[in-house]
Amino acid sequence: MPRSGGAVIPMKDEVVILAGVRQPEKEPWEPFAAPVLDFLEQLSREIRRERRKYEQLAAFGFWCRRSHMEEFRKRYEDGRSRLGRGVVFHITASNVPVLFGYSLVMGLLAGNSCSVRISSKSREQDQILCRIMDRILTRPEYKGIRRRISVFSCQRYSLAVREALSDCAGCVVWGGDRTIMEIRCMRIRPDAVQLNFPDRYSICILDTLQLGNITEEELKNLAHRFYNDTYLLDQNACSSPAIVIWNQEEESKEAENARVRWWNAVDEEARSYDLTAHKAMAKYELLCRYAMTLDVETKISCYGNRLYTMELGDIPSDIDQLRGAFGMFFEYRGDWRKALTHLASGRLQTITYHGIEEQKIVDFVIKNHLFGVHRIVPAGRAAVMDPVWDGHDFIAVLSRQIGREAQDAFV
Amino acid sequence: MMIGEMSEEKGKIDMDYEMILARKPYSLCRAEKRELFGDWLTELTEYHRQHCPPYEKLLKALEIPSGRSMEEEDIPMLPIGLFKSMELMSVHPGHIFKTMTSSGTKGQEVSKVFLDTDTARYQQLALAGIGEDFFGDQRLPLLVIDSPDVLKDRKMFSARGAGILGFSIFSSHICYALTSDMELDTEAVEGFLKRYKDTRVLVFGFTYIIWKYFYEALAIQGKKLELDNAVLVHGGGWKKLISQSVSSDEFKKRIYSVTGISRIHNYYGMAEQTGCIYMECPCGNLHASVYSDIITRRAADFTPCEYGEKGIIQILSPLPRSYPGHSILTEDEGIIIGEDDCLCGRLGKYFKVTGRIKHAPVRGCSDTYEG
Repeated sequence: MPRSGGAVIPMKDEVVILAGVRQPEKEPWEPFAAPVLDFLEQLSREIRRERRKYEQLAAFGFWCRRSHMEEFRKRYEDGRSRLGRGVVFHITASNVPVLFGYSLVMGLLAGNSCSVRISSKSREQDQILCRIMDRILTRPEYKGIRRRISVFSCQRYSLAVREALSDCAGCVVWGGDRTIMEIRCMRIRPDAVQLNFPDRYSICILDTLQLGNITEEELKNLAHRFYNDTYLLDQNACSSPAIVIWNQEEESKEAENARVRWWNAVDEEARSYDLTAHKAMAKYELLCRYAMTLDVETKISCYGNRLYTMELGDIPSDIDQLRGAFGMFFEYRGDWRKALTHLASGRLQTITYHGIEEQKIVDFVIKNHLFGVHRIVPAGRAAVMDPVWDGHDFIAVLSRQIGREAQDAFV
Repeated sequence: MMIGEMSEEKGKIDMDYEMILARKPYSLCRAEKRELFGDWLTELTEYHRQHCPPYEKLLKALEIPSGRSMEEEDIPMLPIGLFKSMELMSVHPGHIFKTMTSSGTKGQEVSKVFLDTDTARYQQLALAGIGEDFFGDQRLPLLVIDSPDVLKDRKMFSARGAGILGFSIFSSHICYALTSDMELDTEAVEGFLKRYKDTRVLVFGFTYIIWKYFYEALAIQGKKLELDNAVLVHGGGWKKLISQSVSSDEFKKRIYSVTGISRIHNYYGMAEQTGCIYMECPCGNLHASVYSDIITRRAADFTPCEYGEKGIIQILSPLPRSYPGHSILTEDEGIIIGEDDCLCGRLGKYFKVTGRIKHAPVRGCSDTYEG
């Protein structure tokens, strides 16, 4: 097997099985089946026991703990009758560590067998997750669940991908718009369901005065969580906020102090960020290009190269096109409702917030019939995966609900 | 502005350029150069602020006030990538004399650099000054290791073409060593060698082209050319050669083995600041001339590095007037070794280029589903 830097690179049309079997069985199970929950519990334990130094992997291990999965299960205890669909095929972004793990868990929870194609360029944490998973699956007590999992890598347009697509009962594609369009052009069963997660962007709404009043400790805590939402994925995840909206009625010394205090706290947290020369250059170029091309006045603040902010004097015509990276944030001051009206194109995924009532944001989105806003979560929770993601309900889409007039009508 | 004032301003600027371009290229000591470059680049920053609207917007966003006197280190930098994605000029489009492009490989975006006649002339004079210091003021027969086709489109030409055209000012006669198919033109080369048997000649080309189409062709054919009297000048970067594990020493040794050339000078330069190239001296160091300067910066905060410390290379030159390229942050890394005290005797900073900034994998949701 050709190897490069520890990663196994498959030859053309070759398939490298990283966990589970080559062909998963097709039989649908009921959602939240006991063997699935048992397997996830064991997975969670083993990840947490040995892999604390990898942040995303550790977070995944914590996420799939028994009690958390049980919480999910309770949400669907609504008396309706559901069953999985068969084999769900997943194609996940290689540059988000352990994303494939989350996607796989959603497929399993919904009652399906899962085959997952990951990139041969997948990173260390993905490889470790595969090894831990495979180790568990080879034990006799997990034989049943092993038959329902296939994690493999293969080349981009290989036969294995085309076959998996044309056979599956559903597919989940994470990635850029281009990837999704490419996959959509491939052959797929007429009754297969598709969950696509295309390019998205996200924002954060902070109440200026409220933030000015929190204690140093709260501030540090919040800044740390904000760091996790952004820097941890190079601020390139769809859920990482690009724009910070400072909700305030009018400008005051107090408001300015609150903002400066906040960014200083974020800058402090960003000290642990690995800012390579390449990232520093790319970020500086992005900053300059926006300053030179936006149709509104901007004001740049640099905290070393770790943190750049660009204050928008007004709402630019293409505000929904703004993207940060590696710790570069746009700032807008004013009423959050006004900003949101301009921002909420269909691509606006997550609003993280602090100091604003969640219900008010939800009400505003619904009342104004906005296209965007698919998630609203407190600041620091941007990257926390949930069965309802990006406007879709994984469990509902990836399982079938058996319609029964009498029962459904009275639930 | 009234017409009288404008011509007066232009007159003053011309005088500055004539003055500096008349100087020997390695004749300014640190203190003099700092003062000259601080003033001149400050003035040029103002000039581009007034003539290039996107540049003005950037300075405004960075809150760089008008009329403040800046040191060389304080001059705002444009990242080199912007010349790829934007069309930046400080002259009326009607005054563009030619558009230069960087030598990107196929499919890559290339930089576009807009030159008016003044800027093109300054750049050519700077190159002439540097060349004279290294090869004397006599015109020499020039063997260009490239195909004449590179120069076909004069309006829109590449850094490769610009280099050839630039170096042709040192020549009394030009011979192209490669055919349009990039094959060694044995007949032409042999004719050239015969004609200039006992004359000093100049050989010029891009590092990778010399290696791939000249050295390798000669090595395969087992040919040795009689070029003992030649000076070879080459530039354009080591990126492709480093991937083939060819070091500078190895390059020199191999070239010597097929041509007998012992005087080989590498240079560092780029389309975004043509003319003011950084030539390698006999001690193996690249030198900044009076026409340009170099600063290396730290990735963490872009503060200037100490001598001996590796950093991202910034290049500064007062020559670019038709486009705001007087202070550029490159994507290369290097080490400034010292200033004014290289054993070769040239004044100014001397340095080494260590290579391109390494592209680390970036996280994020898009750009998925690869290999």
